[in-house]
Amino acid sequence: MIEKNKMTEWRSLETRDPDAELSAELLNEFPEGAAEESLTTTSRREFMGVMGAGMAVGAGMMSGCVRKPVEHIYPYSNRPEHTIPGRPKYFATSIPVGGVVSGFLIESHDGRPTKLEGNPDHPTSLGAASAQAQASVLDLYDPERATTPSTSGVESTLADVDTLLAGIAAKAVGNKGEGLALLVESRPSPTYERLLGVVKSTYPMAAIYRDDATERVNARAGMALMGLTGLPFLHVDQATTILAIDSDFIGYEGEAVVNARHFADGRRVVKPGDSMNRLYVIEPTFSITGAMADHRQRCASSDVGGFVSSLVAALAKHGVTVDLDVAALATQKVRDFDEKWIADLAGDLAGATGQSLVVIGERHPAVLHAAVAVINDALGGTGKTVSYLAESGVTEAGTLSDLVSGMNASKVDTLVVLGGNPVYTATGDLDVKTAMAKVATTIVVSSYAKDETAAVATWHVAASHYLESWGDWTASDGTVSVQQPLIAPIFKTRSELEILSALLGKSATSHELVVETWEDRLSGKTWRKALHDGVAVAAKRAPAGTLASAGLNKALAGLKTPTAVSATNLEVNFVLDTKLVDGRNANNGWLQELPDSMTKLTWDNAALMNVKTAGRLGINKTPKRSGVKTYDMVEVSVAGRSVKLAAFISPGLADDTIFLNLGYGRTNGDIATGAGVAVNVLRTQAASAFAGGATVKTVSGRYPLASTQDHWFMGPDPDESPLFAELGERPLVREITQDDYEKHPDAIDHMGVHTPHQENLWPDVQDYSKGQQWGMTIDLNSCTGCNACAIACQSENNISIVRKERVLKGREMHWIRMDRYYRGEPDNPTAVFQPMACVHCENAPCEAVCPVGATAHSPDGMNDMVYNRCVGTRYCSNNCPYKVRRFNYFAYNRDETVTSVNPFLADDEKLSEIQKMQKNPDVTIRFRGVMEKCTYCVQRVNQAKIEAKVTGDGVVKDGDIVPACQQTCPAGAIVFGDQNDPTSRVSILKKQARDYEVLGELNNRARTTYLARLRNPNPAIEKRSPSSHGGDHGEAVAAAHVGDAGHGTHAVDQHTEEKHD
Amino acid sequence: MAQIFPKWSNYTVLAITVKLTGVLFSLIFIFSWWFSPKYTDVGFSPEQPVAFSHKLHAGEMGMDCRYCHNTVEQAAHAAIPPTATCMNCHKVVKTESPEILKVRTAHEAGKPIEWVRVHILPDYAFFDHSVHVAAGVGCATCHGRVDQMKRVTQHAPLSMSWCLDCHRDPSPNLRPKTEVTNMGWGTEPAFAGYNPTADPHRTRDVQPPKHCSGCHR
Repeated sequence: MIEKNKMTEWRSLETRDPDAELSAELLNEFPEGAAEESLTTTSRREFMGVMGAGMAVGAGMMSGCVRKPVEHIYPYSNRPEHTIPGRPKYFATSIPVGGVVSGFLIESHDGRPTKLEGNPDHPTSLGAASAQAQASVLDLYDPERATTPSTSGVESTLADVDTLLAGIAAKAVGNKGEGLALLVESRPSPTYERLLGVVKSTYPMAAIYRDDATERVNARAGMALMGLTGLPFLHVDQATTILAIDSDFIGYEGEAVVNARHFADGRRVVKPGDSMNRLYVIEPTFSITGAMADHRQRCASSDVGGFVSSLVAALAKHGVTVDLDVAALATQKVRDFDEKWIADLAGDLAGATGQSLVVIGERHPAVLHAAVAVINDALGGTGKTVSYLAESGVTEAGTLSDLVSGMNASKVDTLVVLGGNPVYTATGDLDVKTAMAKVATTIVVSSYAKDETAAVATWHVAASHYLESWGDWTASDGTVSVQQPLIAPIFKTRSELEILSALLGKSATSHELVVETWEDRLSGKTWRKALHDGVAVAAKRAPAGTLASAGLNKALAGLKTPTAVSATNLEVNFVLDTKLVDGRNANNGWLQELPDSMTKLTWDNAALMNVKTAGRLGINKTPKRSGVKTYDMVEVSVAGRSVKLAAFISPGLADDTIFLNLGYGRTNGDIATGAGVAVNVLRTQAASAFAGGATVKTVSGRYPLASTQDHWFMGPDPDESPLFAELGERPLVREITQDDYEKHPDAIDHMGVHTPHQENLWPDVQDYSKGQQWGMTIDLNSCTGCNACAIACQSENNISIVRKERVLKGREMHWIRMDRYYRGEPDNPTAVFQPMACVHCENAPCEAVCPVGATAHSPDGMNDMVYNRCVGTRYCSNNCPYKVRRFNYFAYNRDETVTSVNPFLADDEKLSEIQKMQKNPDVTIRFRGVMEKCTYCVQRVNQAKIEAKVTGDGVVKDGDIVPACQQTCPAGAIVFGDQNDPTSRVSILKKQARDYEVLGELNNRARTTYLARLRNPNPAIEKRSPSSHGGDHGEAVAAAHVGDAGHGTHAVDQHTEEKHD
Repeated sequence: MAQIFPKWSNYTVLAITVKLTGVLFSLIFIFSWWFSPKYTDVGFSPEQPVAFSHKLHAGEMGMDCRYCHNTVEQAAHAAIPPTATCMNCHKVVKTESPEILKVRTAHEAGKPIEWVRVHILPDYAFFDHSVHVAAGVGCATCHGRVDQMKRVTQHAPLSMSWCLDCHRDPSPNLRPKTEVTNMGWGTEPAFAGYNPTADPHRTRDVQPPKHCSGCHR
């Protein structure tokens, strides 16, 4: 059994302090019940019996040997220029994902767009793409996407839609658009805004409303208070000291992809003396930005105003005068806050004049956005670390609540909803459904006919996917790109631009509309170049003007003091989900099954709270384990409305706060239905981001939550090997302060378990000193745990989703497991991410136990997995110390058209014709009963090798092989290459002292090594309380600190000291 | 006492042994021959929608393979040519032929001709033409004397052991890169005793992969 409190790093509270039952469970490779073959009640034994009978029948049915089925080849009639069948082509396009416009390259295999990658030439991508952006390709092939228009649930035709819209246009021309209302989403697109402008001028009586959860309403209003029409734009690359106030700016908020790259660039330590930026985070939740912080403090959302006032006061003491009416802010008092900490923070910010940056989260009110702008200005950051860029052409629009009152007052007879799903996303005090019933004609343009809003509309028009239609987009820095389709509309769909045009009585394609916008500026060669590069206008946005805080001080005076959050005044926070956003991605299987960065929850949301809050509410610290883990149910009530959902304890959240993720509990498709609970009903217009005065009580019932945080446990198993019991814990993730690293570069190495002398049991099968030998480094100092690599891997390698009931059994298939380790006290830990995939051991333990040689080594050092040899013993997975092998318990890719007579295959996932189109043809589709795992993207390796052989001397140049995970990593944490070449990037990184091998004591000789995490704490805070960034550091790091006192560098391996003498 | 077993029964053991051995060898033969691609796949010659003759085009008229299969040097697929390639000549040549009519109709309608695939590899095996051509493996080595085939027939078993035979010892199947599309290479005395390692035009040794991921991804 695992010893108590032995774990200095832990994945969950249960593993931090495991009981006997749990440690037995953890050491099992799969949870109880995972070995059952079927989800039905059939046991393994019954299965074998029936299979025997089935084989007899099968043998009888084999009537003669038939050659392979006849296959056809369909060549082009006229092959387009530069098209080579079987070779993918890349096209640049652009779309907003989660409200942020970015540029992308789409990989197209013989006309089928299969994968999205970032466009290196686009300034808000730099070649990287978020998990959400990459998963958006899957939506194109969603079999539940609406394929035709419909009216009141009855299938209709596009011609009918045209007639309908022409009728509306004709009527609007007559009455200047009286009674016509448009509800739009935030669309920073020149053509879209142009058409909206024409709608406004043609139909002056028509009303336009905008509702979009990702729109930066508060930031925009905050800037308005400062006399600016624009938005702040961060230059993280210019900042050395950063304070994030509840802002996930390198995780999921705003230009996070670029911010993460710039942030990581600011702390890439390759040689001693390299400088590192410093990040302070104040937040109620535990975001991945918080996990990257050098110093992090918790603070309830309603206390953020108080924190800002304390900060202003502290800055004044350091000679930074902030032009704010502090008296008004001072009524806001932050509770339980270390004033000294704020003083040190203020000193650090003031000391880095012109290089400091304060960021605040969009969910906080406009006044605070304005206050932060003033602070940044006082710190000399304006124009350096943050600039204010003018927004142009944002059509003025009403809000959703204006629309609802308009509809209730019967002022609307025709409502056109362009995107969005207000019936679901509206706050609890807006009854959109009832209001819509009062409107004679409601037309909803969306992808799903089963959308909550589409279901109550008189008309539903199936919307085209962005890969099927034209458009143009302005990124937040002013870069304009054209959205270029890669495939003609597969179904009878229309794009939003086409609908807008039809409303103006003009039938035009989205291509014609975009060309119309651009024809005077781009044509012929320049137009083609814009399409090719993915950047049409590189011009930067104009500055939004100068800051003037007069308006702000007026607003501050009117500020109300919030009631302090306490055990009797719980605060409930509504946060946009990191995967589903406001629910727009709810029917995307890749995102639903992707474990959340921090909680590792899949397929569900839950009431998140910390241990202290849960304890007060009487919620069990550990889930009940009977087959699957079930959790306590709670009822969360705010302002008379309540929802029931499962409670999940998540370390590091602020006390007395409850977190509810938006976007779940939707019903628009098979994937979305049953995943989580809709919590919008608790929100109000006044309190849409967080609300005080919530009550939470436990209710009867239990709910299974599929959190993967304890799956694939890598801890030692002392029962099986007494050696490991002696060696103590396994230092899987290593971190050290930059100071200590400079003083003792070998400290990282000494954190490892020291084994006397490592020798191979067998001679090397290959000579690894010759030729090109592939290796990888993953820099834990850069990795933000954003999951982009996991989705890149999934789309590149045709990895299946398995659905919640199988994730509960530990059958998830992701090749990259984003391990998140906590350190320190349960309620205020630090966190480190460690992406873990097959590390391609030279002495691979899996290879030694495969009875059929289905996993073998290649001469270039890769651990190959041969699907067609695998018989599914799972010995390899059992013997893998990294637990990175994944088994296909079912056929997750069974051809829909093939019906099986075998009742045991009933649980297979069917793949429809349209889903097949998404698959990467360069990677084998795996069938039931075979093992799979990271291949280092062997298809890309082989392609590069073939190209090198065809065009050169057969030697692949450094950087010619880029695995999917490295390609998309926003932080640039992953580097792949030839480790035998001393000049390759990977070998230069591997030469660093902070390079270490996970479980190196097993003598696996892993090809993927990790670069230890460095922290850059403020010496002043560090001196006062060395544990402020994580409480109990763990033996290893604590010992490294001892080094300060002149201790020898061997200080760390006390527990093995006797062994090597 | 009368003998229970007659004298001939002494031979039954031998007879059973011989017969069993026979059955065993037959079984081995059945599986190794009739179940192997050497029997099931070689000689596969499906009827095609258009009776295109390689014998006429590549043989008698001596067209280069790459006139039609023009991606063979750059990509995994040699690629069946687009119908437009046929029309390059058949706009003016043999326009009345009923077979050409099929091609022309398909081209005018923009519909692909539904050719039947002859050389089929399993989906988990990834073959790349370009690297084989670059190494100097002749077309005829795997596809046979296509220039003598009226209807394309599978020449080689395309089994894994057949692939590996060559990957383990490629030199007998290599030829000068200029002779890759030469159908008659090997029968001409000029190239007798060709030694790839002594070929001055080769810049690198041919080192075909013998490990799993070389072909299985």
